[in-house]
Amino acid sequence: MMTRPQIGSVALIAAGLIAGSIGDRPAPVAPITLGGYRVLAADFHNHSSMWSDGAFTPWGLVLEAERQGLDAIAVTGHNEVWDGRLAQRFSRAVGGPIVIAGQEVLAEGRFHMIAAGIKEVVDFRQSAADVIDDVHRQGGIAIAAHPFHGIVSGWDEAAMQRLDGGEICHPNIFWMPSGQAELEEFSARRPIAAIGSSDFHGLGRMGVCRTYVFAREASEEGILEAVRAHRTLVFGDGDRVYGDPELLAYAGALRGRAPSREPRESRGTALDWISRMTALAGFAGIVLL
Amino acid sequence: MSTELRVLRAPAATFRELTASPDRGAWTLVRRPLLIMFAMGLLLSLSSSTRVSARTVVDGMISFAFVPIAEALAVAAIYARSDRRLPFTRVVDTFLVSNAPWLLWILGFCAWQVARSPTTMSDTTGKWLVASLLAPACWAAYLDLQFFRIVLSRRAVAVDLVVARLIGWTGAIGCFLGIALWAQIVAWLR
Repeated sequence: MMTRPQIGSVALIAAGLIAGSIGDRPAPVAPITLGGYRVLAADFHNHSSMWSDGAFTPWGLVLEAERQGLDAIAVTGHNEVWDGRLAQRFSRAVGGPIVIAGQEVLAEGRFHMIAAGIKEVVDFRQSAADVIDDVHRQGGIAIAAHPFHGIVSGWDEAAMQRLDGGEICHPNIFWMPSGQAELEEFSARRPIAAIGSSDFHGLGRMGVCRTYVFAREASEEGILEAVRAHRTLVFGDGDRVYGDPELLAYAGALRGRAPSREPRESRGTALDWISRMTALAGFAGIVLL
Repeated sequence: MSTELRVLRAPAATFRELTASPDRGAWTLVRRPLLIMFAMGLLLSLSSSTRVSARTVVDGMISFAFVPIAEALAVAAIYARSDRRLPFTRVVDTFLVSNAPWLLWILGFCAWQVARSPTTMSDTTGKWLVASLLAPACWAAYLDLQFFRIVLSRRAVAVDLVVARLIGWTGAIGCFLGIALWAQIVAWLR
C-alpha cells in the first residue's frame, strides 16, 4: 500500500505531467516562400535511442521536430540507417515533418560525416572521398559533421572537392571560444552549403542550430537538391549569417523564426514552470518520503 | 521515509527488513524498474525542453528501459549461483533499491535542469557532470556488496559485484552506444 506522502507525490507528478502536456503542442509553422523558393527549416543531425546514444526514440524525434517548428529532420544513426527509416515511416503515417533517413559516418580520429538521403549503410572504413562517392551513388548528400580542429584529418582535398555541405552552426560553438572560427575555417576551404545542425542526442534542444533550405518543392528530393546547389542560410553565433550570398538578403525575414538562444527567453511559460516544479517536487517525494 | 532513503542511511538493516517484507507479485517486479525508467524520462524531459510532458517522459522511459533489464540480468546471474531462498521477483526488487544513489543524483541533476536553459551545455560542465557520477557509482557499489551479503547470503561479494557490473554495465553501454562502438574499436586498433 502507498503511504500518504507517496500518494501526494504521485499526485504532484500527475499535475506536472498534465500542466506540461497542455503546453506540449506542435508549433504552428506557416509555410514561407522567398525568392520563388519554399523555405524549409531543417535539422540534418539527430540521433535516436536505438543504438545511437540518443535519448529519444525514432518516433519521439519526429514528434519533437514538430514541437520545435522544424519542417524536416535527418535521423542519422551512428553507422546505421534503420532508425532513420523507422522515423521516416512513422512520420509519413502521422503526417509529420519530412524525415530523411541518414547515417553519421563515424571514422573516429579522421572525420565524422552526415550522409543524408541514403538507403544502405556506408562503410566508415573507407576514405572520406570514397564514402562521399558511395553516398552520391545512393542519391544522398554528404555533410561534414562538426569539423572542429582535431577531427578533420580525413578531410583531404579529394574529399573536399566532393563534399556537399559542412556544419557552420553546431551547439558547441556556444561554449567553445574558437568553435565558430574553426567551423568558418573549414567552410572556407571550398564552396560548400552552409549547414546548421543540433547534433541532437536528447540533451539540449533540437533545432537550436538549423538550416534554412531554399527548395523548389517541399519534399526530401527538393531538400537534397537545394543542398547540392548550396541554397541554404544558417544563423551562427551572435548576428552572423552564413550561406548563399544571393540569399543573404532574406536573412531578415527568417531571423524572427529562428529559435531564441537567450537563456531568459528559452525557459518557457508560467505553465512550463508549474510543470517543472510540481513534477520535480513529486519525484523528490517518491525518492525521499 | 522511503525505502531508498532508508537504504542510504542504514543499508544492512534495510536489506534485512526488505527480505522479510511481503511479496506483491507482479507489482513487486515492476515498481522499481518503473521508478528508474520514470527518473530517466523526467531527466530527458527537463534536459530537452522547458516542460515535463507525458510525451517526452514516456519516450525517455521507453528509451532507457534497457537499464532495469540489464540490471535484472546482472542480478539473475548471481541469483542463479545463490541458495535461491527468496523468490526472484523479491530479489530483483531489492537489488534495484541499490539504485538509490543514482536516483539521488538524478534528482539533483533535474533540480539543476529546472533552473537552467536547455539550449546548450559546455564541455567543462559535461566533464564535471561525468565526474560527479563517481559518487553514486561508488555508493551504489557499496550497497550492492551489502545486498549480496545479506539478501543472497553470498560470501565472495566482491566477485559478485564484478560479475554483476560486467553483465549489467556491458549490456547497458552496448545498448546505448550500439553500433558506433565498432567504429571506436577500429579507431583504437589503427
